[in-house]
Amino acid sequence: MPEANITKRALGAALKTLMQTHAFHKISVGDICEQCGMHRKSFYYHFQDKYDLLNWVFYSEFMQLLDTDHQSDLWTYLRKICDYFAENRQFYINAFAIEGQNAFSDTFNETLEAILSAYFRPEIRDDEVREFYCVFLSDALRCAIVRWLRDGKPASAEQFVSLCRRTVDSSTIRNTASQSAGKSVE
Amino acid sequence: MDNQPVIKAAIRNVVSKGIRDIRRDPNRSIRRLVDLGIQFGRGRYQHTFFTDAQSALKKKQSAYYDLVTSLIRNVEPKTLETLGFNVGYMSWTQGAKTIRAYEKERGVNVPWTILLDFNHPTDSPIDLNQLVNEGEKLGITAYFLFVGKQTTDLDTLLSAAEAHGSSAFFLFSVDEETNEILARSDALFSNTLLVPRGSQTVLPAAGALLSEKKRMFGLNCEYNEVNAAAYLSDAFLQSVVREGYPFLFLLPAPGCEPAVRAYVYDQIVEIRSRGRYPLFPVELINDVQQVDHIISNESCMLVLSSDGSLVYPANTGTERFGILSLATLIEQAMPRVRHHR
Repeated sequence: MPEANITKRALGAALKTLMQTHAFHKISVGDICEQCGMHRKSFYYHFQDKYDLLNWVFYSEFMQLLDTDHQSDLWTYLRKICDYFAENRQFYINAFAIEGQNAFSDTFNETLEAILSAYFRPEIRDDEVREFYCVFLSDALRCAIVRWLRDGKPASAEQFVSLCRRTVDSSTIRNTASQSAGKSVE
Repeated sequence: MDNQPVIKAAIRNVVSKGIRDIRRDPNRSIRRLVDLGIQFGRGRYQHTFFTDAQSALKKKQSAYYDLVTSLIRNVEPKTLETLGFNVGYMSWTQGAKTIRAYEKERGVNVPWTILLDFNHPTDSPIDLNQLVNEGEKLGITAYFLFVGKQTTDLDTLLSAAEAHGSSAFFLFSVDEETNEILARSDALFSNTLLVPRGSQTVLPAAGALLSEKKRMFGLNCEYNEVNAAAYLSDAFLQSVVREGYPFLFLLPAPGCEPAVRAYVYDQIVEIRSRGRYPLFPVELINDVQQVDHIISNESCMLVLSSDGSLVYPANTGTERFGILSLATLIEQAMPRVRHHR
């Protein structure tokens, strides 16, 4: 693995370790560097701030879940994401708790909206309706994921995603989308 | 090809975010995007490309930081995203995978791109739409089109490019008049890179117009034994940079000696590795073959004329797209020499 990726991974691993026990706002760049024995200069060579590092951890690990060799539908992929969140439960509980301009929720929503938009494109042709539906649905799924992560006795990722799928696939939601779209939904 | 909409959307979202990050925090974000390319670039050529880029970016003063920052600031974001995705993912990752599977099954060489010389009058012009439809099924999603005063129907070519949003088109004009027509056209799409023709003495005026329109563009020049050194000189490269061209494509003139072509390619590789100019120079023929060599283990190239007949490899008189399907043409003209690894 190239040296740059090793450094970034070490910084990411340090942040993940610290977030097991500390809220994100209580962690400083100095704490992260101390945790992995790196200089602040190394941190700032790669990242602008701790938010930048958090987003990098998500994007780089999220990319590893992509299986470009096989056809992967929305629900298979969401199941992989939820398995990954479950493995990193405390880290993501803390990440989703970040509020304000650099909120992790915004990063996650943006990713989910892009995926949902591709998934629903064949069914909801009207761009405006599809955009609204995907924003709405990504908010709903994110809230459900946060609630599931925080649950003291959580369902398995498989059960959770299955419930999400049944909810989204149910005629109530699909019909709601169809009615609001009028002629544009085929 | 289009069987993975969810995965493609996820990757495109990461590319889009990378481009936005570069606008906000250029140097760090450029390095990070390249590192991500190495980590996740599953295509063999993609890996080679990103490893070379990472090596160049280790120099703090590398002019490639300026090149990428300038592209991000001066090119319409959708064009950057589309061309980057179509070449980086659709061609060098997904396309390469389809090509290798087909080559293994059929024992043929499939090129990663097709060069099409449309600057010849013909009564039966090739149907580009059909060619790209067939090409995409084989994993070919990049096309180099050469157009000029003798091109029969430029609008039809542009429509075909528009219709194939998952492929990338490199539109080379070969004369000043066509440079102007294309630069003024509004019918150029986010999957098309326009490459006007220039020379060591005159750089085309089209560059300024394309820059104003926030297009992605480059410059193409034809070299020979006499002028090759001038095209590789510091003075010429500086002038290309001054005129705002981010890419330079050098093409050998017909009949140019192989030794000269090899020399120019070596020099181009050297210029790229030094990273002194905010410019990405390419020796078109050698670089196209090099990409193919990495994708397929065996280098191959396919050049067709405006009527679909073979220009390269040499035509035995029977091979012509339109009469033959692309798959049959490739099977007849490009058998593998060695076994696939």
